[in-house]
Amino acid sequence: MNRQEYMAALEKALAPYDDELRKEIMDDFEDHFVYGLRSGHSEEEIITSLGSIDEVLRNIDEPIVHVEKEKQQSLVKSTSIRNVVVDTQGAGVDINIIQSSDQDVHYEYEQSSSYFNTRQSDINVNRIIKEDTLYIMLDKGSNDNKLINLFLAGSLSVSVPKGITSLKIIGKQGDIDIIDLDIGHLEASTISGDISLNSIKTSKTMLQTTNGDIDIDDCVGDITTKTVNGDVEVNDSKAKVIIINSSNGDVSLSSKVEELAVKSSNGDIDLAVDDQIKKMFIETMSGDISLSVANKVTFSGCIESLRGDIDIDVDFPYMVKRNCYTFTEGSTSVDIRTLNGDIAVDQNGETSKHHSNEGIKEGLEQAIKVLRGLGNLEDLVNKDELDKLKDLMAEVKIDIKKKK
Amino acid sequence: MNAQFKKGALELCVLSQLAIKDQYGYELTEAISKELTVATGTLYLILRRMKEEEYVDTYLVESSEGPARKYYKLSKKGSDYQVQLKNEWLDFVKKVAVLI
Repeated sequence: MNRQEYMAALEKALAPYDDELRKEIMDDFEDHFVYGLRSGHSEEEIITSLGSIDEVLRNIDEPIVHVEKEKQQSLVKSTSIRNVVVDTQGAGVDINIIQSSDQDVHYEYEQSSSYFNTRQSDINVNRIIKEDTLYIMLDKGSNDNKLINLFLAGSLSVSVPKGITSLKIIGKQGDIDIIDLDIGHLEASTISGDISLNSIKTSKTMLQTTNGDIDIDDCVGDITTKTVNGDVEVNDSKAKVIIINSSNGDVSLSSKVEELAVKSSNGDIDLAVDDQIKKMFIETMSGDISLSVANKVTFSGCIESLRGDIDIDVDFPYMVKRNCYTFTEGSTSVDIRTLNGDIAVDQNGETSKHHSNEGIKEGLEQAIKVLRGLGNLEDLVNKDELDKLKDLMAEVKIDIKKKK
Repeated sequence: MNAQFKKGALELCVLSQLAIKDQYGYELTEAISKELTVATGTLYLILRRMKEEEYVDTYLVESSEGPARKYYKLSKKGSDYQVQLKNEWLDFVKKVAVLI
């Protein structure tokens, strides 16, 4: 380390402290070098005599003033940036991504106020620009505080301009929150954290977390997700293709999609799609499947459960053979199967799945009442609902027959 | 040496050096590091703290060679504190000498 490097490291280490303190210490040390060199000492000797940066920091009693200063400095002013990579594998932090209000990439790192993290210099925020790609990377710096490995050190916020080609986020322990973006390709992965997307427009989005949940709301563009233990929820979104892969988590989707593939080993799958759906592939080992489709939808393909029950309520023809329902004339290709779970399919044309489910359940209860002779069907419902209920009753009869 | 103990001792050394005469930073660090193994960088932090606590004042003296020298001068408060610390120290050393 030479004088220049030492002073640069000192300035960086003092960055979180009061401006006046930093300036005074920097001046004192500069002067010390000047007089030291004049007295015939080498830069190395002077550095050794001054002591390590850590030793200097240990002797500062004054409090850290917040990191505002660094926040302002963290701006990449370049219209040539097409790709942004945010890599926080070096330190467990939460990541927040939002759209930039201008053409620049802004980022700020905020130290958590945890008891264990008293020094901002524990984490370094590095930035590298390589061709048209900006890398924002965190590392733990020289400090070997093991506690940083156990606790979230803080949060990194990045604002990304509209229209960039790609954004890649690599997390470790923290959550990833992405709000309000309009970009080409989005990729986000973390190990223990949740991933949440809100108001995102992309051509393709790929998300991966091992233990966290994935929550997607109001997004446009194709989506692929992969989780092991987390749940996946996709609501009010629009895509040509959505692929969801989860081992133990539940999957819930209510969106406009043309091609949908969902695979889960042990989780339940709960889906509501509109009439744009063209293709569905849904598979679980032990989970239940519940599917709600729009009025106009007709199926072609099969729905099968090896050991579970199937409950189908649709307005188009099908053939039933044991626990396999086959459709031949429809426009939407389906392949839905589970080994041990139950399958329920209903067609009602209503967008709100939960609402419609409740309606059906209520109707069923009414129908059962009538079947038991507890009430008169005509008294219970108005004429409009009568046909629907009759269908339900027919189905209940079938169910009863089946159970016998 | 115990860090807190060393810190106290260093404070007394700095104050006592300044009690002899006003000195600028480098001069002071040289005087102290000649006798004691110390990270001289920390002495600047001690000086800064003493200034904050008004034990010392500073003034600049233009120098024909190199940057203006920042001289440290003991205030009345600092001078009293130096006397008090010195007495405590001597008393302490005496007692320790009996024991060791």
